[in-house]
Amino acid sequence: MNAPPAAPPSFRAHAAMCLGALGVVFGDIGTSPLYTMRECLARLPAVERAHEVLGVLSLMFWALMFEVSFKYLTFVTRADNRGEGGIFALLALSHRPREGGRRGIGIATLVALGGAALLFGDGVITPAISVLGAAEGFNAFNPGFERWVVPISIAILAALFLIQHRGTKSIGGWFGPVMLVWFATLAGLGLWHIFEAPVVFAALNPLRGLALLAEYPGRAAALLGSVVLTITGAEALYADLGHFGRRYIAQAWAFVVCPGLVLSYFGQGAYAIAHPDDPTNPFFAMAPEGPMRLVLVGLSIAAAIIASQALIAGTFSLARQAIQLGFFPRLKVFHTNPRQPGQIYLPLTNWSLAIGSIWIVFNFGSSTRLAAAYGVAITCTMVVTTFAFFRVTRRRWKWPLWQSLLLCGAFSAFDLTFFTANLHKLPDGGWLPILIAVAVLLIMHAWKTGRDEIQEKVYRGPTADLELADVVASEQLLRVPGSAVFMVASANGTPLALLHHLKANRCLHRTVVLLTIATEEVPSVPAAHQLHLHEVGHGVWRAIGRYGYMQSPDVAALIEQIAAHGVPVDPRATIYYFNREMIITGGAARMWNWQKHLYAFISRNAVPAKDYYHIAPSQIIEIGLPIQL
Amino acid sequence: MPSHQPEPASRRAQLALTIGALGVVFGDIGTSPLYTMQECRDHLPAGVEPLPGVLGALSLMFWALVLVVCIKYLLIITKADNEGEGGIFALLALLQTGRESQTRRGLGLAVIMILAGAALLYGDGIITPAISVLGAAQGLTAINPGFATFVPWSAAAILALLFWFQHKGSRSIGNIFGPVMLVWFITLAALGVWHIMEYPGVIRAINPAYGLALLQHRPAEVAGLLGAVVLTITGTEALYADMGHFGRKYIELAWYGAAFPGLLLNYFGQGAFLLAHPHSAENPFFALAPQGWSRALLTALSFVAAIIASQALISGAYSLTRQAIQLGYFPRLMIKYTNAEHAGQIYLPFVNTLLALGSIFTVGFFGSTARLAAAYGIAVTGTMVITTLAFFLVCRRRWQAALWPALLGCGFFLVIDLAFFFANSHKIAEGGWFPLAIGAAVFAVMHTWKIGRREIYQRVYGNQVTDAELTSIARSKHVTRVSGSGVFMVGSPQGTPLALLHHVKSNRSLHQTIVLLSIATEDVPHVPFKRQLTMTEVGEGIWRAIGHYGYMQSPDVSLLIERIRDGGVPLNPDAATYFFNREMVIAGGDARMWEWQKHLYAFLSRNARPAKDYYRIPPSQIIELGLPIQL
Repeated sequence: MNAPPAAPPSFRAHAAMCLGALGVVFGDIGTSPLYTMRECLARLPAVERAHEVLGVLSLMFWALMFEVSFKYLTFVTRADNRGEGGIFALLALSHRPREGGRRGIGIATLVALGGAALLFGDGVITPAISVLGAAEGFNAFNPGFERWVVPISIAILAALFLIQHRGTKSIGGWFGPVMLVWFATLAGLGLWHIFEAPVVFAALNPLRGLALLAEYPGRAAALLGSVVLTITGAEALYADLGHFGRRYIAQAWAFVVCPGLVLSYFGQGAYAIAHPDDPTNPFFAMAPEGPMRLVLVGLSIAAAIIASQALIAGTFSLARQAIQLGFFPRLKVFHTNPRQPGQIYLPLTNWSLAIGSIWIVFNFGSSTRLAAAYGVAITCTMVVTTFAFFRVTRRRWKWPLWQSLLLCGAFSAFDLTFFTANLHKLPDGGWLPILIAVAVLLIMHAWKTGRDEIQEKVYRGPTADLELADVVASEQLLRVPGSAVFMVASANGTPLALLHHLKANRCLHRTVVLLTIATEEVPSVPAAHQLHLHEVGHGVWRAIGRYGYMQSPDVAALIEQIAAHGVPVDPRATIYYFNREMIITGGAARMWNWQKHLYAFISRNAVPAKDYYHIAPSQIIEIGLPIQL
Repeated sequence: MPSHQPEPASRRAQLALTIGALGVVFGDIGTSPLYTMQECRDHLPAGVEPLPGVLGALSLMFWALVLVVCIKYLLIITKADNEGEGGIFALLALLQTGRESQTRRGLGLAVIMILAGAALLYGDGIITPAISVLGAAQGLTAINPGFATFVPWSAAAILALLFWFQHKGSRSIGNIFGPVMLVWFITLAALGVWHIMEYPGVIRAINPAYGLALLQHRPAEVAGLLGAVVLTITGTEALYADMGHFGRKYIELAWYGAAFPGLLLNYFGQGAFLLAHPHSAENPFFALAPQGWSRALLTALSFVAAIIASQALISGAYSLTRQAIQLGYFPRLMIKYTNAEHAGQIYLPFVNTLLALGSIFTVGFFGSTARLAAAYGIAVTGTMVITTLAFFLVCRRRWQAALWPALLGCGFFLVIDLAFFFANSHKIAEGGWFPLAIGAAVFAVMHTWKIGRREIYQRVYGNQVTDAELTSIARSKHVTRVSGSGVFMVGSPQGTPLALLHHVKSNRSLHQTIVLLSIATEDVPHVPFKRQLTMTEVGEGIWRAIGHYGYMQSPDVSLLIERIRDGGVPLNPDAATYFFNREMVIAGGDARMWEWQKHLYAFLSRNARPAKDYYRIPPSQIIELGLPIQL
């Protein structure tokens, strides 16, 4: 992804960036008002509700201030890896090449991977809870709609996942303005109701919150477990840093999102104080009954869709970062927008998310029950983020120990409080994101260890340093007529597949082309620059085909070009050699047996069949390279 | 599997086989009393007095057992066996032999129907262990209602243990299954008789008029009741499927000698209990035993019976899958033999894992037999309908039976089957979708695999290359013979392996010495060392070798190659290259399949027989040639 652009010249462009950030970065945190206040109120004793609302508001306000404004926006977002944010950026920043030839994944890396895996787990819940929360607004309009809430939510989610492959370029421009309207509505409704009970401003005093916790120690965990819903979107905010840059995110937060959220929460609080006996959701109750409320429901659904879209896109980019860092098997990645390299579509991730979140809507059925499951994973990720951030401050920024400890200790105090307050959610469904996270973590761990083992054993073996020119110059090598194209991943050294071929078949074609297909970070490479060719000698050429991420390589055409350069290949008669690792378990690799089987399974299924580049199947032969783990 | 058991000489051996059948075949139907009567009581039409209600339900249960189990299955359907094997795939095999019309595209309607029936069996296969073990675990609440929270946990733990131990086979404890089930049925009978004494009038339920009277109520209520009554006979299809293990005669002996009387007496005893205590809300099964240690004992015995029933079902799923693999409807999976004396005792790790996950998930998701009973039955009654239809086809096509008797007989049973099936269709929304969804998934796999294999066969393997053509290729001046030796692993001992043709085409070369090696697994546990290798010379430096192994042996190709060298073939075992063939399926061609089917086929093909045993060949000597095939 591109680094954040340099300061734009005009105010207009500046505002456009902030608006764009509104549509992508703040969807998750911006839809929390749909259900958070209701959940918090439900945790209060009925008789004292009006009185204790102030304490709840105080907790929510300070959670927002500390976690979002202070921890994430002031500090954590400063740690960007070439403009990219998220837990993988922290991992990349704090990474130090391991000395002493130690292999395997260190504990710190494992912890960070666990945090990333938890984000995948939450990625299943966030769209479900946002859309459910918005659809439940129909109840506030007409209670008879109750039984339609789940079908409507499922339909919205299904439609959302079905159109993912088309990208968001046609409607993406609307997201920012819609979210601006959303936050303006939040602020307007909030302001209107604050006048009903201006006493809510007393909640700005943090002591009110602490007093509430002290008064009901038995309910403290449940209360904090609901308060945490206000800040569940903070981690997504950091992960999306790369799209817009810290500056615009901070400004959008300070001028639009934060006021909107705070006013809405305070307005809901004021409403709860003014109408202590109204059991309905204070969010929808803020709008006057009738068509106004229906409009609010419509707007909520739009905001929930935008939030879910942002989260899905965030999960795609998380998965891609994991793939690029080698922690995740190669999946198919489609680019949906020639102008934005960040707009991608991963079918497998998409369908896993779709099945997961639809199943969750179906199984939980209401945002109240879902709120009881939501938060464990995200608070755990926050703890992990603090830990990883600590390592970045020490290793990368060379802060003195006391400074890192002081700051991260303060962060941890909050994070750990929220995390432990959420632990009681585990049996109520909180196990689900944890379970997903464990599965993802197992896959990442098995993949990384397996890859490392194979790199070490096979690709850095004694044959790795052989010079290609020396190999093909060998006198004993029998040359048979015809031409062969070997598809190789790396443009240096002697490909192992070629060596295996020589060893097994004892012969080589007269003309051999080693072809590497490289994908550049531009949408398309002009035809004139696509081919790099040089002769190794003894009838062997090395060729590199360069393509942009929006192009799909046409190897047959490339071979025509190579022939036009005077290489004696016949594009219609040449044989294309692909190679594939063929994992055999039962070797000496330092992995559990089930990990080897998992690795073998992933390895068999990870390589997309699309990689045959439109070559006629009759001209392809694939060589299995046996690798024993 | 042993086909047509030889007649055992002694009465002793006959008795042993009969008791053995008790342990394997009747587990499913024998554990139905755990929950069936309770469900029937809870689903009586509203406003029916206990007396006509209970008598009516009992009468329906009695006649369901007599008509479906005694007459339909034991008297008629089990006559249709394929070399001693029973089950729905036996009907398929009977239909297919003599009708080699494989040139047709698509699968015939009859085949699709039977595949659907078999797929539904898997759907119920996941429920059966869950409902039996849960039913037994609910005995805990009959001891002490406070144990209710432990019921799903203990059921899940028992299932997990059961599936965990599958890889050991049932050899060591299998022998006690039969005697335990005998004790079980005797207990059922004794408890039943005791309570029948309490209320002898319950015998009147034999009169079908009581049952018919209940069927006069509102259709929705009747459907609910029939949906509970069908639980009595859910194990019948399993009985037919397990026929191959013991033979029809011993199954009949065991049924009439122990299972049938035990079940009847018990159901009537439960009925008598309900009539004597019309206001009791307890499970009438566990209530049969007096409160206290004898009830705890009954619970323990129920656990054991439920485990044996689940074991039978799991073994049944293995053998169903193996039949499907053999008939080409399922991708090859790893099959392990757990008992040298019985080729039928197998273990399929993949099927085991899926069943374990499925049935433990079922326990967690449904949580009680009452909720699970709402999901149970729709799939198995669907299979029963299909069995009747398939049996009709077998009568007509295979046995050339006259139209009228066949139509009349099958029509009669079809009416009963359809009545149960439609009575169960209201269960779809309550949980019946679950076995149906599993059935649909299995069906998709079987259908896709069969169609895809046929497409590939037509595209790739259609024209075989004879030995004469092979030697002429080897002689051709366009092919360079390079030094060294190549061993091509081939699937069938005839024709020329595709890998070799592909190799010659792309590399224009062939090794000096070529061995075409196929590994054959025989129907015996062990093949003696001397008879393991057969070898013929094709000419031009090409040999064809077959390694024969028993199903308990694991082939060692390195050793075999040394013996081939000792047999006079010029090769060096340490330098030979072993060629394996692999189909790389690519979607996007013009095969007449849905796009998703092509992708599914490609996935299945990549992963079929995953732990592909490379026969202990050193990895560095293996080369796998992938041949892209576009579907």
